[in-house]
Amino acid sequence: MKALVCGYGNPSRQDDGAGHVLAPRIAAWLEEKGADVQLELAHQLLPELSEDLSLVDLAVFADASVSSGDAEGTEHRGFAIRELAPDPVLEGANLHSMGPEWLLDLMETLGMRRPRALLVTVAGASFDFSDALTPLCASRVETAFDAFRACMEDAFEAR
Amino acid sequence: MAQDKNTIVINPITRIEGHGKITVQLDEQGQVKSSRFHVTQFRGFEAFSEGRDFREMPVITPRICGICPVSHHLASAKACDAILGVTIPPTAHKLRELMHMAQFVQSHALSFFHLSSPDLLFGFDADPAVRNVAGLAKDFPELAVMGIGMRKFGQEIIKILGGKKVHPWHSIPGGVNRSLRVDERDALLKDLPGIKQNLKKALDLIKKYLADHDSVARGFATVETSYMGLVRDGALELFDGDIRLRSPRGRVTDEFADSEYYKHIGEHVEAWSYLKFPFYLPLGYPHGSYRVGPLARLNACDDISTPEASAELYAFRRTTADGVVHSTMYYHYARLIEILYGLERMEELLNDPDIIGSDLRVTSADLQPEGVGVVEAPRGTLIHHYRVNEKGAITDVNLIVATGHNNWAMNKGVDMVAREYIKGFDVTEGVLNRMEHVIRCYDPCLSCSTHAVGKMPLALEIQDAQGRTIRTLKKD
Repeated sequence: MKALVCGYGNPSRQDDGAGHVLAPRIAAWLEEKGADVQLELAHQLLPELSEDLSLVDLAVFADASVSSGDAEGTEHRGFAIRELAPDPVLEGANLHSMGPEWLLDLMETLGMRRPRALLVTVAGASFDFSDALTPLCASRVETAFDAFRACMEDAFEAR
Repeated sequence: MAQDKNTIVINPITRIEGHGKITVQLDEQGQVKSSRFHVTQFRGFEAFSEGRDFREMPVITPRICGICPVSHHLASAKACDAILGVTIPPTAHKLRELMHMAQFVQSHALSFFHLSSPDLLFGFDADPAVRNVAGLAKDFPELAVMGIGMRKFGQEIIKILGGKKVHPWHSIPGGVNRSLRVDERDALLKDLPGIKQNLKKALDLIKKYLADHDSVARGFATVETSYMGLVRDGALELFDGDIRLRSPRGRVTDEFADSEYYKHIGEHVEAWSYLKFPFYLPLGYPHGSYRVGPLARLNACDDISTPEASAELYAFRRTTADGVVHSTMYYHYARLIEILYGLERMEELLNDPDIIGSDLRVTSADLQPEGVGVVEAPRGTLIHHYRVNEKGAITDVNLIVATGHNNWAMNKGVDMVAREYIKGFDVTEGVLNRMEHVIRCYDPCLSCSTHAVGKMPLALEIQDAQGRTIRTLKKD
């Protein structure tokens, strides 16, 4: 299986760099499981990533979030994992705010082969100037990684 | 924002890189009295770089910009070479130039394919919901794919050499920190022909557009100015040459060593903008205002050293009687010719045996008190000038960036379009988009020119005769 793991955000703004910490962990684990993995770390998603995505079977996006991402009424976990579908809505009127769903929609519009795509978001506690995660966010990264592994372990076993 | 019946507040100018605002002042009859393009952000890299070791500057200054960090990286490294008083090895010079060409290809492709082509293909009056990169992908997928491929190709070269597509680290004072492997070179050479073929299709498209819209294109925000750009033996040069100025009538006004820019270029300041107004000192401000960037470079040079781009340059010049092209919308055409030059120059560099050499760096313990580094950034001439103390700590920094050089012309162009299209208080979105497009022709990087923080839409405000804002338009 070919996979692309993309961690994005600003690693100079504390917990906004959560994706940059989480993505290499996910990439290393997928490699251990035998996947051929491409790791990308970026400040933001750009249309050019669509070419790389069209060559893989699985795409995993890792990003920070300002909210927990938990469904209403559920226990606060500080992270969320969800399957992505194409969405043409572009948040804002510029490419700086492009999300992975928009990227998948662009691929569909351009007739590109689209991989299965997952988004793992980790809730940040502070977005101040620093290149280190807060302890709370760092622990959420660990929890998110464990949850991703558990979720994907089942998928690998099913194969 | 509160609005009354006389208030139009327009707050868009999206699809540019940077942060700015246009205000249009109307008189009692609703006729345009004046228009200004303001840059309202300030960051001050020059100030906070003071006290840092000069060797850090090639890493610090690329953070000014996420679109052309390579240009700052290289201009900074060249200034540091001058402080060391060294000439870098041929392999290092060629690797730096290769990265520079990659930067031109990816940045110009962004400007044309993603930011400007929607206006040309859908029309200035088309629905903004369609007139964007998403609309381009839907209605012109082949063009969207070309843009994506060209951007990716340039970014891959930057990543190979500098470790990252954005904010790479490759150049160091005295040379570079990584060589190019044979397999990497061969892979790039394999991809080049396809990219060049696509570029030619885009060139055909812009030529057809300009021919089909001849009167609009020639008159759109057209100002007759001097033009500035680097040349080497008179030919177009993007990385390492002398600075040349050519007059509006086509005469070479001046040509001087890049390290002596400060003897020839002054900087005027206006209270309403953080962006300075550089000008040619002997002519004073504003008479000495000039333009830079793709159109200016093609006007400033005598020829282009690579064959296919040279042929395109001659076709470009045949669009006017005297060979000097003043039409602002021809910036797009010039930009595509420069991509072609960049691709041809890459091919030359990749076929040069030096490119896979291993002699990457020279150094020196004797520090010069100051150093100047000049390159052509995609948007125009970029100047880094540092002064250091005997320990190498920065004591003074001056940065003159492309958007600053074009400041006067952008203001003039915005004013011209406002006067032509705004008649009364009922201003349509299409008119506002034309004003935005003036700015997009120059492809300014406003974060670069002012070192602005954060997201950067450009606001457009229409003011009544009393100076009250009567309309704004904004797309966050």
